[in-house]
Amino acid sequence: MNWDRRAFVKFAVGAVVGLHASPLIPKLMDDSAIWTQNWNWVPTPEDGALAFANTVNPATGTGVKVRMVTGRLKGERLIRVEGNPEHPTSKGGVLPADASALENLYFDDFRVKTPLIFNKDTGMHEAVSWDKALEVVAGKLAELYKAGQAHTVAALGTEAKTLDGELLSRFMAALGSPNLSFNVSAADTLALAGWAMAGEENLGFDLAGANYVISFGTPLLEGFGAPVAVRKAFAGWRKDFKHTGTLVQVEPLASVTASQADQWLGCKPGTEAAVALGLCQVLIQEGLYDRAAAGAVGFEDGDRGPGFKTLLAKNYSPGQVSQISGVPVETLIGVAKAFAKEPKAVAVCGPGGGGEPGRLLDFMAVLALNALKGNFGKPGGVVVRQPLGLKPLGEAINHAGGKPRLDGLGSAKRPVGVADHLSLAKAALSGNPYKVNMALVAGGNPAYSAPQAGVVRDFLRSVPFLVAITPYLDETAVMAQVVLPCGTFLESWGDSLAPYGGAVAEYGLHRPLIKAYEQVKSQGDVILALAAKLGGDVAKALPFASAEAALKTRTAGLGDLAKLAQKSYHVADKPAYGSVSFKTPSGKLEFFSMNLHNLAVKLSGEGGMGKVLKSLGVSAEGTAALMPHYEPPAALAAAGHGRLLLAAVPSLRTPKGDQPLTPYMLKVLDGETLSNKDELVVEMNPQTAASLHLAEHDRVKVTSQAGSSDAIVHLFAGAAPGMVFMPVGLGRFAIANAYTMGRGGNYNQVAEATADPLSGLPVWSLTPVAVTKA
Amino acid sequence: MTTHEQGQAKRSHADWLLFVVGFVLFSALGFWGTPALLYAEKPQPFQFSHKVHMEQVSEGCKSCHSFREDGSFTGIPSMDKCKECHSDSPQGDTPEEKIFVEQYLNKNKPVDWRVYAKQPPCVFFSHAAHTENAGLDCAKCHGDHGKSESLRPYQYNRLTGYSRDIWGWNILGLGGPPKRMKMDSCADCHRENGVRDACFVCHK
Amino acid sequence: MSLADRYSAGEHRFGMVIDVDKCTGCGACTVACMSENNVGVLFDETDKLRSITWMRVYQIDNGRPFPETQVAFFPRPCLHCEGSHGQHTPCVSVCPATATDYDEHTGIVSQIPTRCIGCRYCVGACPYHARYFNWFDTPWPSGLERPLNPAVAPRMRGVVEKCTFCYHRFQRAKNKAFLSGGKVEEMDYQTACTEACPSGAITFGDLRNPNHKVAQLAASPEAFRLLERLGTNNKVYYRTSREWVRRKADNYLQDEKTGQVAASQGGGH
Repeated sequence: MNWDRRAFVKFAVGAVVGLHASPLIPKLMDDSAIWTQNWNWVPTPEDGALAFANTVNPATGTGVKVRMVTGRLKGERLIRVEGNPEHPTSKGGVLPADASALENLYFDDFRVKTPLIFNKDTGMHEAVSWDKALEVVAGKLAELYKAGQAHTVAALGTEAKTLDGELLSRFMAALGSPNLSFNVSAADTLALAGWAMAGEENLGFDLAGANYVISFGTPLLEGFGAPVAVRKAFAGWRKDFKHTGTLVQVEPLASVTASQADQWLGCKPGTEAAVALGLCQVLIQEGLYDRAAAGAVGFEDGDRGPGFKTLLAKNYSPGQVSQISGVPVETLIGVAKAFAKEPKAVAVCGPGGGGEPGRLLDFMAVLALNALKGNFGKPGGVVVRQPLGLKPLGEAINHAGGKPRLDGLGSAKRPVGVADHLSLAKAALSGNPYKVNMALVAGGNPAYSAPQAGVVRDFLRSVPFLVAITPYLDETAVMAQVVLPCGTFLESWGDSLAPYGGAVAEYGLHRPLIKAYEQVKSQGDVILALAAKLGGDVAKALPFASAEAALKTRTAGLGDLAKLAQKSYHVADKPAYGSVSFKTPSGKLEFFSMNLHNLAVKLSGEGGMGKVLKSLGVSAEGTAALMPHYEPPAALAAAGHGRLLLAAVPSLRTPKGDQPLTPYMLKVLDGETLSNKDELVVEMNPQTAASLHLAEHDRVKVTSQAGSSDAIVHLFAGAAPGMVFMPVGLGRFAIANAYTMGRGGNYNQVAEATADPLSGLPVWSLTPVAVTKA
Repeated sequence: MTTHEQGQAKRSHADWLLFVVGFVLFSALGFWGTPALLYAEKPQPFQFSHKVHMEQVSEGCKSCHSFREDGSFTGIPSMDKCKECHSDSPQGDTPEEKIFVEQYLNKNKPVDWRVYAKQPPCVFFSHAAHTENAGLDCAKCHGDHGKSESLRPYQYNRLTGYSRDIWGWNILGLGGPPKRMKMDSCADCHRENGVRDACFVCHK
Repeated sequence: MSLADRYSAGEHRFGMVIDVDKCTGCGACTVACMSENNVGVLFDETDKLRSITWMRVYQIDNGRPFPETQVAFFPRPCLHCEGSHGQHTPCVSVCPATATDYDEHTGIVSQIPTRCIGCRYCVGACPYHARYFNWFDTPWPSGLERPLNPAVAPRMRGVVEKCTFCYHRFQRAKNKAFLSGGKVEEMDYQTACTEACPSGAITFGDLRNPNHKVAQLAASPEAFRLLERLGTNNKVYYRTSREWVRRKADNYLQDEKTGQVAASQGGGH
């Protein structure tokens, strides 16, 4: 046997066959196959024990359950926000904003994780300790205070009546600044309308109890009050495939509410109040109104002049209203008769499509319709919500009286209403009577979400020292000299009040469910820490160890805080039915508002009242000026001549106001909202588009006096002619959020806010715009 | 006769022996070398005797490896479970318990045991279905693990990262559980017992 | 023909009835689905050919002029077709890798991403666009992977995924039943979208069980299925009282009346 080539080949072949006979090759192949299914870069969520905790999302009013997993090695994390079936009004439903809340909580890049101070040299925000950050902010406040300039500190909060709002109000009052503004909402307008006509600021609509509902220009199913609760009521009208309740929608867009309604009255823009008054007139002329309403102040003619009844007959006959609104006469009569016939019927007013607070006179017209229906305090009618019984946070210390408010609230310029960001920003920018030296933005994102956001942004940019207390590195935070991190509702103490229009007393409480970031505090705790650092009267006005302790004081009437926090809500069982005792000066319902009258008298003396009212934007004269009547929106006059009216498309697929647009919500937006190339899609009637020589998918520029946005045209027959409809909630530019940055345009940037007659609140639901081919 | 033909005639078939040698040598190498090549070993954090623990508890495996109320299986017990018996000072005198108490219990740090029977993330395995509904013994799949006095070395596949228990300790991959926990083993048993074998029964 | 007869024998036939007249198109179902099933988000989700939404809400309108226009929404999960002649699910029958099957016990069409080879035959075969291909890996940025649900395995690029009727919830309900010795009741197994819907437009349950609400609703003359004449014999019913919505749900000829297709073709051909 020679060790030659042949022998070697035999050995080699033997070796190869031998190796193949061993498990090596098949095992390797099997393992490689398994290896291809090994996706190391795809995260594997750790399993563990499941637990649930109740809370309430203050941004939506939804009662939710948070699902968490406690993994053995990596510990606790929240994995899901789902509905809480036990919550009396939201009953287990959720919104996209609720279900994607964890994307706000856990979005590392977008969250403010430590206090930040802007470094001028590097142009970047730098992480600092809480001590250092508070020292800088308190130092600046103390400096202004010592210089007698405390009133030049402005604060922009989110909601006035929540714990966070109260703490901020007390802080500013004790510091000595009257310049504090909040987000305004339809609740403010309804409170004013209720105060004017019924002496009652706490009105609600018993939607769940009603079986005939007329909604005037408000997106009942797309962002009214607590949207889940409203749709639970809606589901009740459509139980088991049967239409047991009738919904009538009055508005100029074939919106979701209009489409799901049993009847849609496609009126001309801004004429909803005229329709309501037209219905009032039909009720009267057909003798279908509640006779008790006839006893109300200002119904019949009197010493002051013609009564509501006379004015209706004169100005709002079905024919006239049909002229104004474009709704056919027989439709008006038919709806009014059906409304009168149904025992549980209610007329509803509310926020405009873009979340604007609504027009006071429109709200009064709707309340008048309800008054003629005689449904106050009745099941399925307008109800007065029970008081919550929250305790005050102790004696307030007010040093802010000395200086005039920048926005003129409380003066003849603006006698009623509440403080809003835009008015503050406008006044501050004018520098009259003084400039703002420091601003504190607490919890919100006004640089993006305020009406006419461009103006508010200019104001914030002009402020020499801006402090933002926020969970996110949003549009406002990036402008701030100091950013203080506060938690989302899932990681902090706080509360929320009854949502707009809700029929029952409702209180929501949220508590820290997880500590996702070591340094993040509750917003209340940030304010308290700042007060403690400042010392003096500010610290005295806020003598609480923590936001939790403040809540304990506040909710003392609702039982043990720990138990309440576990349950997370306090909701009255049912609405307070029964006769309403009106707290108006006359003690009766008032079509002619004595409250408004007395105010106007105080401002002017009897003779000059007409002038005062005129300066407040009321064009009607005589008694009509202080009664529910139809004032054509200012934007109507400016439209025409090639200019269209811009209105918002309400949607629950985008978040309300200050809340960030979550990645999941972005995903739900379809091609009718945001086009493939990230451009905003605006809807126009095909005829209107044709008259402007525009076709589907044309690129246009929508320009108003306030600003402009690029968009893509989508032809939609359901849009009223002469209008252009724009989605809300897009056009974000916070660089830390790679998902939402630069997608679409911001409605708030284009919409122009005007002062509502009487209330002075900014309204921006209709804006004259030019739509030009880009 | 050419030289060439002569060489052929003279050539014996003895060199086929080399084929056999090559075959035997390399198949042996394959059998011996495959596990060494494919599997690596990781130590467990410290030694643990199931036997000792089984003697102390009343309900067998379930005393520690229990079900949660929602029907899910806890797997490796939590620190809280350990604390039910182990206080913060060692009870026995083994060095292992000292390690446990000092390095884990006192620091409240969970022990990162290597799990022999860990399945890939795409697998849904219900202990409740097998032990509660079908009444199988733990040992049916896990073998005598509960009687072991010490922990076996934990071997894992260098390519896939999975425990060697999944493929099975027999390098040919023969046998079903307890020696093997691959999909085939699951499917075989399901088939034998007339249990459904649709994809979603075991996959997620 | 009774509802149960439409489907082959088996213990359950899980299905849905979606009330189109209740749906307000808010997208809560879609988001609840994504958070339950670990559906990823790409940085650009405006390209709907690449965007994955197991439960997608489609918008339609009646095309009438102002003010007679109406819109309606069709939430569309996987419809879990059985096929009208024995088990012949469109996607299952084309899969070369057996990465999807029809479970005759539950009537649910599975999808096993680890087994999928990414050929996308099933995507093409599905008449409802219910199947989605992962064109990209989800860019889980630091943090956003924390809320991932451990009951569902996340996927990689190159595989197909789709709605599973939250099968893991059925598994969980069964686990609980095994432990307590009880049965999986109607409310023990509900999909994430059903729970989330604030209008209560979705009803989920066992179509074969006459005590389940879904079986009662699906038997209503107002209930119909999408593209019924294809014979997919699926298990997601829709319901509306609006004729135009119903006409849009299938390719009706002008002289055809709605409601007849199901009767003539539901039994197979």
